[in-house]
Amino acid sequence: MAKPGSPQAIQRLVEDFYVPLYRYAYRLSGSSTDAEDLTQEAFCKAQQHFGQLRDASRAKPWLFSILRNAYLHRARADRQQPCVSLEGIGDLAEPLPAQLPDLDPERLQQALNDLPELFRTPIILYYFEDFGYREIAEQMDLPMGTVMSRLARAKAFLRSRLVDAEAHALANGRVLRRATDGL
Amino acid sequence: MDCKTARLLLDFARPLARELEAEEAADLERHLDHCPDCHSRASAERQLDVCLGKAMRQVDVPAGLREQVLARLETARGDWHRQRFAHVARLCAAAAALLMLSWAGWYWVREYLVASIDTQRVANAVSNDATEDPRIRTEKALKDLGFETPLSPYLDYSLLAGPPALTELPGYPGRKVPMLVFARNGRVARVYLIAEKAIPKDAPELTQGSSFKAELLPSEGERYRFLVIHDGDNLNWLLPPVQRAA
Repeated sequence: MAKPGSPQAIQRLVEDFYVPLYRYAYRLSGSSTDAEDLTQEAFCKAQQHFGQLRDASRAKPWLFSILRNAYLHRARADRQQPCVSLEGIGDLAEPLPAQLPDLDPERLQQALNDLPELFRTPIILYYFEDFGYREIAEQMDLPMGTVMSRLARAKAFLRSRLVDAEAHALANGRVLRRATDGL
Repeated sequence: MDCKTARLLLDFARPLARELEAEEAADLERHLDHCPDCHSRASAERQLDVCLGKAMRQVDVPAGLREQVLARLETARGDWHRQRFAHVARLCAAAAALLMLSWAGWYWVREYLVASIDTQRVANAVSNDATEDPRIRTEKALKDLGFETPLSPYLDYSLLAGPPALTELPGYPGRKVPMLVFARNGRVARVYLIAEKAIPKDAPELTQGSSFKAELLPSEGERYRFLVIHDGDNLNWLLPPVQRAA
């Protein structure tokens, strides 16, 4: 039975990381209730196995890794994983519109929920918490090339679901406005 | 740098990814400055990164989450201490049970598995002892008790009633000294071995009590003086046969 970390050291971890950890949990799980539970569970596990954290500067990736494992554990129990296919998604060869609209965070979450976890985790880490490719690869225990390939496909998927649709709607709106301006 | 390489490196050139060497990053920037096609692609990519990143980070953190986390940690710590206490208590109980079992086992072994005694073997051992010079035998027995000394030549050791024993010196509670018991024709004498240094130089050879006498045998340079307690007139009966005849 491992001795838990000192209350002061754990409290410092909570102060420093509860916000990014909750946001990561929310984007992973897509539910605020699950995100709260996952955040608490991650800190409890960190307290229980505090001795494993040899280097304090590695606290953030360590905590993120604990949270992801907790999430995967639950996800395996739920057996309700998204199964959207990324086969039809290419790279970002198509030109983007000159002015991108602001994206709706809720629609982003719906799109993330549809992504399999193997693609969702790297894209969240990539955009969200300034993890480099190397750190994402370490987190997921994957080669860097695989991480980059998954990132490219996940990014293309998000773009197709969010940006292209938004741009299309925006363009339609402009055309409609121009058409109705003359009336 | 050509366009193909530049587009490949764009993936590594995120502001936060820090995957490019400074020289590579500078080469890439120079290429982007001079290639409108790659520049527009890079700008679009960066714009997309900004848009997605901004939306990704827009997550409201519930009020009171920090307090909830700290409270749950406190509860978990309490549970850990309770489990730890229960664990230690279980260990102690197991150790106590083991100790009791060991004691019971040892007691049982001692009570029921004591090796049996063969009286013939005892008789043989005593007979063998009897063939040995009683003086030498007594010196060995004293050595086993931790008192290595030559014995006084003024005693007949064949008159010993038993092996030497550690016993309390009369009048000195708690002070144990070796004692020899001699017996002949109803007369008994106890001989105490007293360290030479414990006898004052001017101590009398013979001291008379109300019914017993205490008599110091002459010293022959031994480390111990032999103090004889007897109730007879003299110690002639204790002398070795040769000295008695003389």
